[in-house]
Amino acid sequence: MNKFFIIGFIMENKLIEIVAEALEIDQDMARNDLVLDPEDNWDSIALLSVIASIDEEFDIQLDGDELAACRSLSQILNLLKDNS
Amino acid sequence: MSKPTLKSLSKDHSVSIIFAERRPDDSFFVNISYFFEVLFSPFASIRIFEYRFLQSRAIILKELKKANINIFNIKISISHNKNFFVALSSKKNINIAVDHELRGRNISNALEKKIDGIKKPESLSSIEFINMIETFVKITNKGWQSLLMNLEIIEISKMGGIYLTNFNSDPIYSKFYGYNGSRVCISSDNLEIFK
Repeated sequence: MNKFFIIGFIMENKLIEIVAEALEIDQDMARNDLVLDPEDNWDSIALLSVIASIDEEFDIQLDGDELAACRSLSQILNLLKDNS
Repeated sequence: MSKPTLKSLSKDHSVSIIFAERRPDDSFFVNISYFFEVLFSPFASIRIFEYRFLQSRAIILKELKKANINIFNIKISISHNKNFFVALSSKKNINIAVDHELRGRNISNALEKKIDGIKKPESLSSIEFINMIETFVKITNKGWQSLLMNLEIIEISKMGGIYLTNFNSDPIYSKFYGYNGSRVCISSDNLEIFK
């Protein structure tokens, strides 16, 4: 199995855990077509929680505006990959 | 479901605060009436097609109308959470912002650790600290990272729960209010509104 595939898989699972904790939802819910809505679940506290957790877990400092623009987990994952 | 309420925040009535519950979807006819009310108001924007945007602005317009406040003479600051929204109406020359959050909202351990490392008054919880910084972001149009540099928040002990933060020697005052299980933070450069 490709090394990058494994790293991506681990990163994705950790990201699901981080987003689920920030949004106070089950990991299963975070895994399935989660929509990040700034007027609902994707508020400043959720954003800051995700930024702090990603910094702690991956040592990656995400830009708040770029993260706020994400509307799905896959967009956050792409942002993570771009910044790693 | 509680009705929206509008209260005067300052003695001179220059600032009013509206609390309202975010209702689930209204009927088609209610939405049509919301649409036209908001369309012909200063709130008209491309976001008029987003339900929550439409609903909150229509409620604000209705409450202002009931209180005889002309929307064209004021400015509005809004904060949403999952269940409620809070709006401040103020004279255009007052620099003011609001942010609020449910009292029991959890934050991640990583964020708690980050906030623990920042110097702040002990009376300010992590959630309150975030609320306060959010109001500073709205007032100063600066990002979180630049705001956190050299940030010093002082609790003014003689004034019962008012905090002072200086930005390049310009003071910003902040105060917290409790409403329906939420903590509401209001920050302004005008101390008089909190008296």
